[in-house]
Amino acid sequence: MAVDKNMNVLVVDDYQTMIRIIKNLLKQLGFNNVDEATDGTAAYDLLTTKKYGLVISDWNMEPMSGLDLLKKVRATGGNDNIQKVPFIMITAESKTENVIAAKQAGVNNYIVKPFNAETLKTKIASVIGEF
Amino acid sequence: MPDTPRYARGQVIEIINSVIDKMDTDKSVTREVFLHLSELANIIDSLKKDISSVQPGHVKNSHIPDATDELGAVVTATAEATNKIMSVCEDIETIAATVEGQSGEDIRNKVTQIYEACGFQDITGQRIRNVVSTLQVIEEKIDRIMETLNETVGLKLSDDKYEKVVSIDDAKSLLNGPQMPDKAVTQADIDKLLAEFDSK
Repeated sequence: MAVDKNMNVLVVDDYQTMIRIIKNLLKQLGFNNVDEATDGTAAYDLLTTKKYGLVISDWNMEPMSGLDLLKKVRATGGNDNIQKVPFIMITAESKTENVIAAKQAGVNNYIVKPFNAETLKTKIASVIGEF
Repeated sequence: MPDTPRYARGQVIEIINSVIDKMDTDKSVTREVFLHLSELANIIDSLKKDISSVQPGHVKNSHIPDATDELGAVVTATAEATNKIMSVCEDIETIAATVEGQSGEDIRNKVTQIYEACGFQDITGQRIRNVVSTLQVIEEKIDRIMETLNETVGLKLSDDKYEKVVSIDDAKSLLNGPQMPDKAVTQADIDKLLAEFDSK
């Protein structure tokens, strides 16, 4: 199935610089409908108001971390749009335990910072399909 | 870990003095033991002076807060610089869209590499946050040491802040690096000061 690049993408990071970097890279890849949030709570609020095709989230945020957001998303019953949204963790936390915890919580892919545009593209493609 | 006995303020000194007094009245105690205890009292007294001279209060009240502020300023400055770089990149991308062929593509690829490199700000920011957390731990430890020294040997350490003396006669004291934005002298202030010299 062809990827709809008009899908809504949600970028979650507490560093505005990183949000801007990811948004610009997504724009280069053809994704222009990108929303942003600076922590898990704000991100979840957005997820309840709009259908997103992809969430790209940092891990280390306050008050709600990326892992807690992921757990809350996957635990959302009765709403497949939220519960099954493709979720990519993009973080500097690169210990094996982190990756395992994220995988067990239902992450679709995991990008370690610093990353490059090619890695971002490859990981997105692995989650939502080639584009 | 077994509990170590805690002594009240100056209790160690009191114990030593008590033993010395006792020895004065009990001639069966050898003079050698008396000398050792006197020496011990002198060592503790000297140690108190040494610790006071190090001024650990300055580390807690000035050096660590200053270092924390400096690190905060690094995060702010790099964030501002990164945002400026990205603004320029966004402008270049807009221009590149009007450039046809391989040249336009090459420009876009170079801009992508700059975006990637700008990720350093996020990474350094997180590392600096870790360093600040470590400084807070050190601050708490120093606080605890100062409290314990006060309780056990009656060593009341100064809570003063460290004020560095800057003098035009001391070249070393003039090297302080960039000033914090809220304390820095502006270029206009410097121009005014220089103009005052010239008008004399």
